[in-house]
Amino acid sequence: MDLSHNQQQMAVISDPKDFDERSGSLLERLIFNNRALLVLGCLVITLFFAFQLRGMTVNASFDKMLPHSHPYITNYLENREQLRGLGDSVRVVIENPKGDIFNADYLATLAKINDEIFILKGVDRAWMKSIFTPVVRWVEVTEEGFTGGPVLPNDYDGSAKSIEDLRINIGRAGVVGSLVANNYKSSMIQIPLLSKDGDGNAVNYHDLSKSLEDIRARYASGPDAKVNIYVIGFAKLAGDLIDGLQKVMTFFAIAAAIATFIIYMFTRCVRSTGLVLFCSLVAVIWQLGLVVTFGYGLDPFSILVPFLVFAIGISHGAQKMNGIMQDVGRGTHKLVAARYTFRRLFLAGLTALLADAVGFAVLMVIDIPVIRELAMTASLGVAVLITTNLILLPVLLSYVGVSPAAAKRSLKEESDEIKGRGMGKLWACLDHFTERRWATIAIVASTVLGVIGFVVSHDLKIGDLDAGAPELRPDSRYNQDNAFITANYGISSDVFAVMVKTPPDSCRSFETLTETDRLAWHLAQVPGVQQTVSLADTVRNYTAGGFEGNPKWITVSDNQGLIDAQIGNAMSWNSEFLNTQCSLIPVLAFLSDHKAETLDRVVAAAGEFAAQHDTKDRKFLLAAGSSGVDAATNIVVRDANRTMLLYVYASVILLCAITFRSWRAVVVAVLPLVLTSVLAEALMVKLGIGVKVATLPVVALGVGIGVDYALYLLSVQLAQQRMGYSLGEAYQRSVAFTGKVVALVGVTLAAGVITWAWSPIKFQADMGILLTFMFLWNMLGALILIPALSHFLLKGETVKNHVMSPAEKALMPEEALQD
Amino acid sequence: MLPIIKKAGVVASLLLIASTQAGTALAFDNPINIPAAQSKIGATSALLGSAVAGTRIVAVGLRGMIIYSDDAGASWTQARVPVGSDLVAVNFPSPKLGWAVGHGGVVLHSSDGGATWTKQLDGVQAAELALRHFQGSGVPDAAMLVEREKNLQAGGGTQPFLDVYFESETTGFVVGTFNRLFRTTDGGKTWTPWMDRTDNPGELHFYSIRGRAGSLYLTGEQGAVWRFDKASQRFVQAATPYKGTLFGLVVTDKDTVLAFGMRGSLYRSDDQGRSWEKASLGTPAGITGGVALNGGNVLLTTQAGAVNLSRDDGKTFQPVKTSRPMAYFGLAPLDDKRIVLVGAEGVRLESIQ
Repeated sequence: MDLSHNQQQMAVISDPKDFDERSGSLLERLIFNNRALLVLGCLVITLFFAFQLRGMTVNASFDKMLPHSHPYITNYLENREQLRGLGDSVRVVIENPKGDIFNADYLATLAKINDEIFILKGVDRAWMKSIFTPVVRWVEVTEEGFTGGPVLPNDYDGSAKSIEDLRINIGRAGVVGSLVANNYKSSMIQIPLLSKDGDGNAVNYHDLSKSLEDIRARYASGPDAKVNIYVIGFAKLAGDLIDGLQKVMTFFAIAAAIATFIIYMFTRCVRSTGLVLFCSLVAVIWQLGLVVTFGYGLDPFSILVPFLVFAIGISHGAQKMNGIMQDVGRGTHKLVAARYTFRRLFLAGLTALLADAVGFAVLMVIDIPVIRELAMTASLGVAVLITTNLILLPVLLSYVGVSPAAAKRSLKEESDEIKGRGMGKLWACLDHFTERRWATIAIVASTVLGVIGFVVSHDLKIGDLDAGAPELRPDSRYNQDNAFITANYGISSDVFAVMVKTPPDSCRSFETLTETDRLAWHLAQVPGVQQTVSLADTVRNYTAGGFEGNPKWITVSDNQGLIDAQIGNAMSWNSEFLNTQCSLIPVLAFLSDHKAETLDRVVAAAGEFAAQHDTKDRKFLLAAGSSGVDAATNIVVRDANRTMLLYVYASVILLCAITFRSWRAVVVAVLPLVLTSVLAEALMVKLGIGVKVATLPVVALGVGIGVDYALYLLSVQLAQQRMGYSLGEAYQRSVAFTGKVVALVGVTLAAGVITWAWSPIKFQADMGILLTFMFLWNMLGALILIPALSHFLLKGETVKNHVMSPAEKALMPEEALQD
Repeated sequence: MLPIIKKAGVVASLLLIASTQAGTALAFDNPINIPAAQSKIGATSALLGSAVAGTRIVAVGLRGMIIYSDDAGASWTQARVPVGSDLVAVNFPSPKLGWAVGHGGVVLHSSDGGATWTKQLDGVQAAELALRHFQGSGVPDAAMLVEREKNLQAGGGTQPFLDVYFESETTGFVVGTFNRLFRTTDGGKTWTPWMDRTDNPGELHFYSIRGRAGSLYLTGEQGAVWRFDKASQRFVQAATPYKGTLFGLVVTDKDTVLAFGMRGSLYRSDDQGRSWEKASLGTPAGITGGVALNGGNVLLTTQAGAVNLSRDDGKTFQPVKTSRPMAYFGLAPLDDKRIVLVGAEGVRLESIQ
């Protein structure tokens, strides 16, 4: 198609009867000549997916955040069932804010809470431990042998005497630091969870978390609350994440409101604003419906997708609207205008959406299920957008039309801008960047920024940097509770575990226990390891206990008979330091933090020990525990971060090369993205965000979606240059025609994700901030750096008598084509 | 006198043991045979015994840990130790010469004030030594003693030494489980089993050995105390009325004997153990360490983190305030004002008034 042909095709036609229905591509004819059928079809599909949404589940699966093919994780998953100490449990701490625990009122409250928790669904009642449960006993060696009993005196009645007995028993049981705080102001209920409840269903963390919150609300809120309650544990964390997710879902309304406002400001037409919104919502319903149909649920990562789909949908919808407005403003009938718009923009829209899809698709290289699911659902979302916003939207427009006033206004604005009035002044300002002085300033400034960013980004850390559960904010209730419990019970929540694996019944051998003890000692030497503990310590302490508590017997005796007795005790007292087959011993290292350097050191020490001490029958397997998972994730993330950048830039460069067919143009398009990537890393350093699972998609999306701007701007500019305009003129036109669109896309995308900054889920907030930065900065980079770089690289692109490609032409508003 | 143990014989017997234990694991180094791992956290890890060698403080503990300090505990250096066994006691009869004992039946010796150590004996060698000594010897109960030793060997593993005491630079004792008692008169070059010289028909464990100026006592299980009788050259019973384990004892400079042990038990004798009176610290916690200071002063430590001082030859005790209490396992006087305390959290110096 050449220019003149195109012009004929897009003549102003005010009556649809004058319009040749057989004109346009096959696809266009197929769609518009059967538009009632198409609308009906979409309606049916929408209803179907809306119906599917009933089955929508919200979950926060930690398993899916694990890099499954990493050997550490494989080891962990293979042995997980056996690792009782690292299994599911919740810790509830009840504090007496007005004194210590030896208080009748406090103890009565504790008893009630204890009873309420005992009957919660999913609690492994036999092993629930508190000073009020009978499994917690004191044992003492007397001259006559062992004596003992439950910590709670059998005749406990709340009297001063029985409280005194309780105090003595607590001392004798050695539960200070585990069930009673070091300062005696609080006590703990340890609640191991069943993997399946009585009905064979997986324990519902969210329900359990809510039940615990309910208990907290009834006993520990209000001015006359007798106690403070602190809750930590895997199930509570998952429950809090799900709560956070539900809160994030409400952000969608805010994002939608912001987008609506932006689009209304853009079109000033209620009808078309509503329509764009409607189509974008339809896209979200389809996308979510597909997710449910494929058997997935929403998780903290995939919840990103509806936001992005909506934002991308809005920006593409707005462009459609833009075209139709102008056609209608010129007097073209709405049906014809819709068809013209489709004709003009379908291919360009498709290209842009495919570019976005590349960003998503690259995520597939990361071997972490949440990311893969994110990649898949996002690809689906983009596919959906092709139907809803590139096809359904123009079809619906052909019925609804736009308000005539807005259409006229749009036309006027457009010509104002081309003439450099109104908003056009701002756009015209950007033209200066094609001149040598401004271009030089822009490039020098960016280079300086880039160098500073590069230097700063060298401090970029891998992994999570804040204390407590990294999924939640440092000041979240959960992390405050965690800090309280860590401080008062001397338990670090950062646990690195090495699994010592032997044939069945061999964990008890002197050799294995000695090697286990050596490993624990080896790890204890590593800076950042606060303490290590293993079955060897249990055997040491039980052996000393067996010899009247004589400290000279704190040993792993080479007399197997002495060890066997202690292993028997450990088994019958349900020790978490061995499995029931006596074939697995976890060696736990409690770390001062989960910074990457700390984890690296522990991994190196444990790996070195394993390499030297592994035998056929005794393997030292890395790694379990929260820090073991963190360590493996860090390793995978570090690699993936590099691979990801490589792939995403490779695909973006390829895409640009195909579109522009000029290496110089590729450089102009890609350099601003590189600057954004570098600055984003520097920003991460400044904000204390480490490279982690959640930031990987940000890098890909930032670049993949960021290249859209360059595609819009450069393709028009190059087209203009190839039509014979000088660089200055070409860019001026390009900005005038697409500047608004670029800004619109940047702002709507940013609006879609900025609300996340307020997510209670820390990594979502990090993602929101980084994506917002990348979307906006990419927009600025494109508007400023593309002309500046073009000045040095693309002056030579101006040619006479060049014929535009359809894709280029499609981006042209009518005005330009008539020029 | 016993023949000196030949190095070759030691190696041969070790190989024998190693080959009989090899079925369970492919490669395993018994702690009695390999050096202690290097560690920077020795001074804050569990330590069982301490001694003062001249101006140097030496402390021993788990996994072959021996550390020493020449600046009154400000800094600590890990000694070179040829074993990784848990060490429980250390004794320095002179500033340069010292001995340490522990599990695996190891007896370590230092002739440079505790900086480097060599192994003089381990449990495998000690068992062989006892067997050879009693087989064909003329002692009255030789057959029974051989039988006992064989039974212990058959039970597997080694027997630990739980205390060491040297009367002089050359003469000393190591004691352990099941009536185990060895004596040297040549600074540990040769060790002689003395199991035939105890009135211990029940084969009770010996937990400590202490003496002063010619007097010598053992404590053990079931309230047992033995006094060394010079005339008969035997350890004769001097039992307390107590039925529980006595962890240790102190002989004051007035020759008063204080035996202490589990559950705060404390017994005092001013007639060499012929009669005992019960004393008390007023705590149910085990008393794990004690030293006699000059002028009839006595210090005792407990597992509950208490240090108690007596100024009246062990009749009454008053608590001494320490900066950061821990479960104490032993102590040694550095000088008139300062004591070295070892325990669950390492070694600390405290001052006493």
